[in-house]
Amino acid sequence: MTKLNPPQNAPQKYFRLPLAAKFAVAFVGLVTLVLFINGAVDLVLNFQEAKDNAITVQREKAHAAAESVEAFVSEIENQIGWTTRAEWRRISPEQQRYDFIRLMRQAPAITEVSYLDPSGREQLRVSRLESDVIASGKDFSTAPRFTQALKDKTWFGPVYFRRGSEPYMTVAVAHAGRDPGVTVAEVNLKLIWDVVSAIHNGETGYAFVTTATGRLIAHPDLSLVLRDTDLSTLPEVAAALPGKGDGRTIEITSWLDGSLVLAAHDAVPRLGWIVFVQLPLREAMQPLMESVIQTVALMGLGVLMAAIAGTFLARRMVVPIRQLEEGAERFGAGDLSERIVIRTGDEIETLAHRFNAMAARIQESYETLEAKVEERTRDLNQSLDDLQKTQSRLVQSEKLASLGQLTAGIAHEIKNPLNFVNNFAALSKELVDELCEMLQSAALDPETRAEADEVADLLRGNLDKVVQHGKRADSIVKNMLLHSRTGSGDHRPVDINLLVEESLNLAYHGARAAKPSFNVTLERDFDPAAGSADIYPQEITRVLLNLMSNGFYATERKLEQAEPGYAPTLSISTRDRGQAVEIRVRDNGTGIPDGVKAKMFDPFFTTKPAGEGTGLGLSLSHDILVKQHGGSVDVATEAGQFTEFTIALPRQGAATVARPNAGGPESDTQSPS
Amino acid sequence: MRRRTLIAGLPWLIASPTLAARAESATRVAAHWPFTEGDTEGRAQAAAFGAALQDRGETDRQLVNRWGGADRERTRALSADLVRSKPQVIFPYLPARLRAVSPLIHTIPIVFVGAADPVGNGFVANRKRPGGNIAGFTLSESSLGGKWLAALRGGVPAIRRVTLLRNASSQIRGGHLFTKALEKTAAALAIETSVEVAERSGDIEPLIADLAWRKDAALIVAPGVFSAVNGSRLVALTTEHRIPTVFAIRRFAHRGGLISYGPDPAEAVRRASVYVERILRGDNPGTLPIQAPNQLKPVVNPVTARAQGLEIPSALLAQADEVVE
Repeated sequence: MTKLNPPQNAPQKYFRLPLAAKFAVAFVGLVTLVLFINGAVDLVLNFQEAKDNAITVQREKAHAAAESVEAFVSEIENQIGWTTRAEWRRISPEQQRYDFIRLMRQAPAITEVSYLDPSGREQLRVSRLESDVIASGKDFSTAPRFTQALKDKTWFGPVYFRRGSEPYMTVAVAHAGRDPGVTVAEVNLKLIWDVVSAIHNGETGYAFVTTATGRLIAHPDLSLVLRDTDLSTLPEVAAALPGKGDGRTIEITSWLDGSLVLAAHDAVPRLGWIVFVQLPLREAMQPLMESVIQTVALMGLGVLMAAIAGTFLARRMVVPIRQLEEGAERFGAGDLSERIVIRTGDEIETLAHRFNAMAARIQESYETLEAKVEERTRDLNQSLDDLQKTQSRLVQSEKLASLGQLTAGIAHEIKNPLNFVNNFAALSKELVDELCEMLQSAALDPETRAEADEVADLLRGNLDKVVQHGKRADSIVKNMLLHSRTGSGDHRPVDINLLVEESLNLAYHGARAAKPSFNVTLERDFDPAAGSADIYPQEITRVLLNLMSNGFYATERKLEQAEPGYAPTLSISTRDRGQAVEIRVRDNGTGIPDGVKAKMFDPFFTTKPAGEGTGLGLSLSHDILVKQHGGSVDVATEAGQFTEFTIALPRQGAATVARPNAGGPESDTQSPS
Repeated sequence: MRRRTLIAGLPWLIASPTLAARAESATRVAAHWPFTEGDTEGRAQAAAFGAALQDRGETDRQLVNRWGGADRERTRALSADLVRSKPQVIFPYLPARLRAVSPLIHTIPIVFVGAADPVGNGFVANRKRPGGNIAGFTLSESSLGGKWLAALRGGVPAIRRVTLLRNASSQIRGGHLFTKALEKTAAALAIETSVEVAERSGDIEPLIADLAWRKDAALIVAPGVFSAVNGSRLVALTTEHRIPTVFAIRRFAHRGGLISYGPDPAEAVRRASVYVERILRGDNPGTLPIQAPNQLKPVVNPVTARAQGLEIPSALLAQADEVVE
C-alpha cells in the first residue's frame, strides 16, 4: 500500500489558520458583535433617557431657582411695603426716619432708602454709608423711579455698579392711597449671592442670574458678578434672552472656561431677569458614565467568557478531528487493525464510523485477496507439478514409442527363425515317431530296445517342450507386433450386443486357457434396443477384453483371500441411451482403493506385481473411448465389494471424432498385463 | 511585564519634581499682621484666617503668620524678608503692610484686607479687574466720615465740635480719605471739625486733654494701625474724660467705646481666604474684583453711655446691630 502524498499544488506560503482558531475567531467575533450592538443600542437609549431626565431635572431646578430669586426680590418689596401705607407720609419725619432704619435693619440688602413725596422731591434719605439727609428737595419727578413706580406700583430699575464693582438695583414702590409718594431703595445685589449659593444643583451644579441683556447679576463665584460680566455671547444665554433668542433651548453648551454643561433656564418675569441652572455634563452624565462603564465591563466580561468558551469549544471540537486525522493517517499508513474511537455523538462520530467501516472493508478485501493469491499459487504449483509429470510421461511415452518400433522390428526378425524352430521341432517329433516305428520292426536286444525307447521318449519330450516354448515365444512376438502396430482398421456400424458377447467369450476362454482352474459366474443383461454404433470394433473389443480381464483378475484376487461362500461374478449389461449406447462391466472383486482410483487411468500405473502388467491397459482404453470415439468412461467402486465401469459410446462417435494423428491407441488384447 | 512596569513608573517620574518643588516651598501663604505676636485680637484674626483656609481645604501647616506690630521699620524689614521667602500668596492685613510689600514684588499674588482706596493709592488699576498681582477687600468707604459724625450726633445731640483722629497711612491724593464727607456732613449739622494725625502713642493724651477741656467735643477714631494698636488706651481715656467717641473699628465698642460703626473684619478675612484659596488653585489675582464690605454694623455700648452720663436715643439703638450690655 502506498502512502498518500500531500497535494503538491497546495499554496506553500499561504497562511493556514487552524480550524480551532477559525472557529474561535468566528465565535468570539459573533459574541463581540452582538454585545457591541447591544451595548451601543443600550448606550444610545440610556444617553437619550439620561439626558432627557437631566434636562427635566434642570428645568425644574431652574424654575425653583427663579422662584427663589423672585422670592428674594419680593421679600425686599414686602419690606419696603411697610413704608408705603397711605398714611405714612403724614407721620413725622423722625418717625419716617425711624421706619427707614428699621427697614434697613430688616432688609440687609438695602443699602440706602429714600422717600419721594407726591411731587417727586426727595424728602428723606437714609443710608448705611452716608449720613442721613432730610428734605434735600432733589427733584426726581421725571425720573423713571418715580414715574414708573406711580404707573406700575413697583418699579425695578436697571442693574448698576456702585464703587466700581458693587452691583445695585433700584427698587421703587409707590405708596398706597391717592396722590402717593414713592419709597426708593437701593438694593445691593451681592446679597442675592446668598440665595444663588443656596441653590444646590447636584454636587457641582450651580445657578446664576442675568439681566434681560445678559449681564450677570448673581453667580456663586461673586467675582464674576463684580467684574460686571456680560454673558450675552454665551449660546445658552443668547438663546434665552428675550427678543434675541430664536426659541431654541440650548441643552448642552460650554461655559466660560470651555467646560461642557447641561443648562436650563427660567425667567423671572417681574424683573426681566433670567435664572440659569447649570450642571457640568460630567456630573449630569455620571449615571450614564456608570452605565457605560458597566456596559463596557460587561461587554469585556462577555468577550472574555466568549473567548474562553470559544477556545474551549474549539479545542473540544478539534480533539475528535485530530483523532480522526490520526486514525486516517494510520489507515493511510496501512495499519488497518486499529479503529478510531470517538464518542461525540455527532457528525464527527458518524464520520469516524464511516472511516472504520471503510477500514474494515479494506481489511476484509485485503485478506480475501491474500487467500485468493494463496489459492492461485497453490493451483499454479499444482499445475506446475502436473505439467512436470506430464512432461516426464511424454518423455517416457516417446521412449516407449521408439521402443515399440524397435520391438516390432525385432519381433518380425525373430518370427522367421522362430517359425523354423517350431516347424522343424514339430517335424522332428514326427520323425522321432517314425524312428520308433522303424525300431519296432527292427529286432533289437531288449536292452538296447529299452534304451532306444527311453531316448526316443526323451527326444519326444524335449521336442514337445521346444514346441510348447516356441509357441509361447511366438505368442509373445505376435503380441509385441500387435502392440506396436499403428493402425487399427476402419470404423463401421457394429451390433453392440454381438460385439460384447464375442468379447466376453473371448475373454472367458482366454482366462480359462491361461488358468484352467479359473471359474466365474457370468451374468449377461443385454438391451435388445442397444442396436448398433459406428465404432472401431477392433479397438472396442480390446477395451472390453481389457476391462473384463481386469474384472476376472479382481475376482481371482478376492478368491485368493479364501472367503468361504464367495462366488466370483462378472455382470455385463448394455443399455440404449438414445444417441449413445451404454455398456457396464461389473465385478464383485476387491474393488479399487481411493488412492488408486485417482491414478488408475494414468499410463504405466499398475497395481499388479512387476512383470504381470504394463500399466497401459486402462490408459489405452481411456484414450480409445474418449479421444477416438468421443465417449466417456466412469468408474464406481467400493473397496472389497465391487467395481463397475460404465462406458458410454455415441452412436456416431467414431464418424465425428477426427482420428488422432500421433500415437493411436495400441492394441492390448493381451488382457491383464 | 517590563513595559507595564515602565508605564506604571512614568507618573511617578513626572510627579517627583512637582513633589520636590512642593516640599521646598512649604510656605504657601504668608500672612502679615499689624499686631505683635501674642496680641489677642491678632491671634483671633489669624486663627479665623487659618480656620477659613482649612475649611476650604488648605491645611493650617502651610500658613505662616508674621507679626510686624505697628512699627514702620520693622514692618518694612519683615516685608522684605517675607518676599524673599517666596510664598505662594502674601496676605497683608491693613494698608501699611500692603504698601510695604507691593513695591517689592510684582509676581507673587497678594490678597489684601483693609486698603480703603486701592485705586486711589495706585495698588490696582480698577476695582472690577485689578489687573496686577493684587486683589483684596476694602474695609471702609470714604463716605463713612459723614456717617460716623451722623452716628455721633444721633447718640449725643449736644456736641458742637468733633475731632477726627486719623492715621498717617490713610493719606490719599488731595487730602484725607474721610475728611471730605466729614466736612460736608459737619457743615449740614453746623458742627465744627478738626482733623488730628496721630503717629505716636504719646500724641493721644494731649489730644484727649484738649477735648476734655472743651466739654461739647466728640472724637472719631478712624480705622488704621495706630487706632488698632492704641484703641484700648483711647477707650480708657475717653471714658475717663467723658468724651463721646465713635470708633471705626468694631471691637472697641465691645471694649468700652461708646459707638462703633464699621465692617466686620472677621468677615473680610473669611472672604479673603476664598481669594487666597482660588489663587492657590490657579486663579489669576488680576481677575478677582476688589470687594467692599457687605455689612457695616453699628454697635452701641449703653454701659459706657451711662458711665458718661449720656442717654442713647432710641433711633440710634434701633439702628444698632448690637447693643453691648
